[in-house]
Amino acid sequence: MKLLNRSHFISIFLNTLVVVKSTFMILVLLLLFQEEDSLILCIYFSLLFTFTVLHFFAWRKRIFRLEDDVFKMNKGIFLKEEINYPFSKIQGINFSSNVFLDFLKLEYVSIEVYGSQEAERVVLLVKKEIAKEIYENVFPSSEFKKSNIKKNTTKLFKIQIKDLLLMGVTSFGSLFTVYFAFTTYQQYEAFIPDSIQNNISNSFLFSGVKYFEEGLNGGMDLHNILLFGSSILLLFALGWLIGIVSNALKYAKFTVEREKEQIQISYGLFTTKTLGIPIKNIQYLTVQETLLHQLFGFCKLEVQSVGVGTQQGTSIIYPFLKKKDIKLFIEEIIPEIKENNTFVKPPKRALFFYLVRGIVLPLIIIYIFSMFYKWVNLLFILTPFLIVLSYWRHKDSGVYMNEKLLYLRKRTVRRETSIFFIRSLQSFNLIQSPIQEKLKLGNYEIATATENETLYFKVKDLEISTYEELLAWYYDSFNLEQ
Amino acid sequence: MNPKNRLAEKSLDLYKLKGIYNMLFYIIIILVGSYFVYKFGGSSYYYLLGIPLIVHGIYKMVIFPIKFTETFRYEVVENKINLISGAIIISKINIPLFRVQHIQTSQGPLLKKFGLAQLTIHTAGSVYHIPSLKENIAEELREEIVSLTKEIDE
Repeated sequence: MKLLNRSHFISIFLNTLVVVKSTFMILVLLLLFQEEDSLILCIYFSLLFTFTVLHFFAWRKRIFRLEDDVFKMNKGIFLKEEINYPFSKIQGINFSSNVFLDFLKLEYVSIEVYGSQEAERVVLLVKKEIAKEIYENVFPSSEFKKSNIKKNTTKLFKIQIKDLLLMGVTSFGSLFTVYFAFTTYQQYEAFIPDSIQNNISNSFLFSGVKYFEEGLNGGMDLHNILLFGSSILLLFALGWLIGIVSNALKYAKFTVEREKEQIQISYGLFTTKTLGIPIKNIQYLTVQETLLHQLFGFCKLEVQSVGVGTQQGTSIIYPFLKKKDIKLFIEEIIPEIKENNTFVKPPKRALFFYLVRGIVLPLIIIYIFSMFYKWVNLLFILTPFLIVLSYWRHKDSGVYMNEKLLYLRKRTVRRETSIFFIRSLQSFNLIQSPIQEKLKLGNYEIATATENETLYFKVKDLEISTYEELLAWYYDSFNLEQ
Repeated sequence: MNPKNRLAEKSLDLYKLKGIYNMLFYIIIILVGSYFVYKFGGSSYYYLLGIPLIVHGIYKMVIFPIKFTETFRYEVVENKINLISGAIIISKINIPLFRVQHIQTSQGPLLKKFGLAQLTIHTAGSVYHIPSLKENIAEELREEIVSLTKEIDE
């Protein structure tokens, strides 16, 4: 079979748009602080034009074809290259699109290939039928993922709108964005022109914030306290709303299903992403529960895999699942793994270490910083929370071995339960301080295979005898396999 | 059972020398920092930041070399490599031989001065070092691990 093609010509302009997007802030800053506006604009657009022309030639020369079970690609304007990727080396093909591309019946196809050093990715923008043809040629045994979703051969998990909203309402990640925006603004205040600064600080939203320092130094009256409080509340509400909307846009229409040896995921409202994760590449599954999600009985499921996915191989396979549905979800989507709620936990004598680490050390750090910054004193009100959290950390840590699976559970603030395939475990380390040695306790550090970086899992203050059992289980399972 | 092999005897001198270099580096940092605090009139609390550096410097120069060389042990047994490492906090490391991806010996100018070499063991998700072995022992150990890994693979 032979298929000759290149990306759609619109990819040239989309690439230019990406450059505009990434350089827009620099342009705005230059225009704000330099007086030669027309000269800057002239240089900017000339550079943009040159880039577009160069990309046009690169586009002309970038041709791909499928030939004898090999994906072949020619590229290069001055230095001509032909790269061959045998189908057997292709780990996965992912699709993504957005409203605009949907209208033009186009789709991004991202082909993941194992290289000699690290995974490579080839991205093409092609008509949907060509995308389908590429997929069917590379993976002839599996039917095209979209037709499969319609056939519904396995159970399809799809996120409900009410879950999506609840997920947004109970996520506070975007509050940090607002906080960082605020602190960054404070840091660069001196460089921002006075007129803009006045506009910002006179707006109702920020009117109270300027009393922040003053108030902590004891110079705040009731009126200012109210203004300060309402400003902070408004900022929080704003961050919260941004969180709800961005969550809804990102994870809308989230669907996941098992298709033979792959997990197929697709999500996004305006930008649709499709991911295929081969089971054999999956190293472990993590169930994450933030405090709020735990309260409402929900969790997030992630897998770490070698070869595909973004964020160093971490892919969300379901963003907001009812805890009682985990068993069903795992049975349908990844039956190679079994759910487990029995753990060998740290003994009572280990609670002392959890309390010292979780309460005493943070309080000492807060005390030291409060010598330099008065407002740090406010953090002492967190003490009761630190006590409860340390107790929970002790209660929630644990380890469990079962056939070919290792279960580790720990809590920082959120609770994480990771389920490892035995094949993903690389090395074991027992770390002991002199006191732990006397009490026959130790911290377990287990390394697992990942794409680029070393990843160690730590569970603290468990019995040494359990560590010995863990090693025996590992080597016994390996010997049985031989 | 704990592994029985120890680091080369000269390791003690190597770590003492490293400790002295480390201390000199800290002294330079403290002197430069103090100059800036004096020049630009920072809070006198800033001088306190030098204390942990001095304490750590003394630890690395006096206690660490003795404790570390006393503690470090390694052994290749059956299908695993066992290491014990650390000075105060002790790590007991267990690397399955069938997970070893590659293994290398390396030698910087300091190690060369003492006729020592470092052995590094890589798995798909972790890296461990046997930091100062006699050159010939490092080579032998590397070859031994490579041949054992091959045997297991076959």
